[in-house]
Amino acid sequence: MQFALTEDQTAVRDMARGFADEKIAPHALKWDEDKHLPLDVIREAAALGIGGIYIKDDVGGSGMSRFDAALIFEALATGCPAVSSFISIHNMAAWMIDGFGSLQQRRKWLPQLCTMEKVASYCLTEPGAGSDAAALRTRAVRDGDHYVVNGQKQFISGGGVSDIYVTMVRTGAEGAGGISALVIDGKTPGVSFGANERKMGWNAQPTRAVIFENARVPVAHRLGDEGIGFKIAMAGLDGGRLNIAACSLGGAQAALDKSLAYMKVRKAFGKRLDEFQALQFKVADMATELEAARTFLWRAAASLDAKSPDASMLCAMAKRFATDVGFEVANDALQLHGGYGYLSEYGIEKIVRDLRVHQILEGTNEIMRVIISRKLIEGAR
Amino acid sequence: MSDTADLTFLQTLRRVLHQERQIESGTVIYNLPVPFGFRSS
Repeated sequence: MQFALTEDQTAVRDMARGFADEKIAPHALKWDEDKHLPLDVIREAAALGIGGIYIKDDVGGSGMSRFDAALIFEALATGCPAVSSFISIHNMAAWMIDGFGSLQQRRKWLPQLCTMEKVASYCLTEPGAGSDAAALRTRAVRDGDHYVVNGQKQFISGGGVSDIYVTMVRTGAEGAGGISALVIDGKTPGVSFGANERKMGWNAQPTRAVIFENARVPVAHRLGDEGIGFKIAMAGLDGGRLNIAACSLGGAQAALDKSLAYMKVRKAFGKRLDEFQALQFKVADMATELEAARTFLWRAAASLDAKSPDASMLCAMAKRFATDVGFEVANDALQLHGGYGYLSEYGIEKIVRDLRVHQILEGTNEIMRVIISRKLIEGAR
Repeated sequence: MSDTADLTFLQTLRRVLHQERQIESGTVIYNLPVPFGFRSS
């Protein structure tokens, strides 16, 4: 066991951090204000290999590890957590095609997804099925060599912008065993989108409902067999949770760095803020929490790379811990900035707003506790 | 994708540098597709 990054890993992280510093961070506040998804910049990131980080390289992927992905998403998120998260969701959806699609399907979709000429979204949540995802009601009924899909997906990142929607639908009975995964082209007749949701954060990416009304989807667009959709969804989310956790770390690290810089110049009661021991201890705790979360995230990522039996539990633990820590550190950074932290121009309140949703999506942190406790209790029996 | 000029940064890193390092013990020359952000050579 070693805790130092290899030369390659350091190069990967520095490349992503360089991209974030140069291409993302200077524009992040404006994108948030304008609710602008910077697809041009995202495609520049894809040109570096970030559109298919852990996609196999026979279809244009980078063939790297989940560990590498964690480094990349943390680094990108120092520029903007919303942009980094958008790319992470695209990677998660693409991986589902890579991991469960046939060779023909992989060759059909993945080359354009790796370059991000086309963008993928992930559709699991519904208006009446969030944490209880296996209760989803979007139905796909077989009609010859097509499925006829009816239903609605909710809170879909990239909805209306993405080209491809990896969608969980019910093809069989109630429960998880009746769910299948379909790859649905956004231009399919019968597919429409709701309004761009007005959100607390994550404004640099659109969130819409995706509505299916008698949308005919070729059976050839199903990933794997009928009935394994929930398994695909959960497998994808293991990695997705690592990515979101990494995005929390990146955002929080940026907030901490801004705080240290601010404390160096801001004076109160005749002293710089960084001369007050109470505030020194505060930043010490923030950095310690972040480092603990980062170390744990790396452990979880390594376990997923190794396909360890406890990988899902560790991914859930890391997601819960890192997203909670990330939000708290960002919120503490806002407090350290005083009234200025509440102003948008300092960039701190945006990070707080962006990181809040990480405690909710990719499975709420309460669902993470369900996953963890279920595994613990099963192991004790 | 045998032509390294077509590779992305990450593909170059994974596919080329790993192999080169195993073959050569000397200095690795990085031929990267982008100019920024690379600080580790």
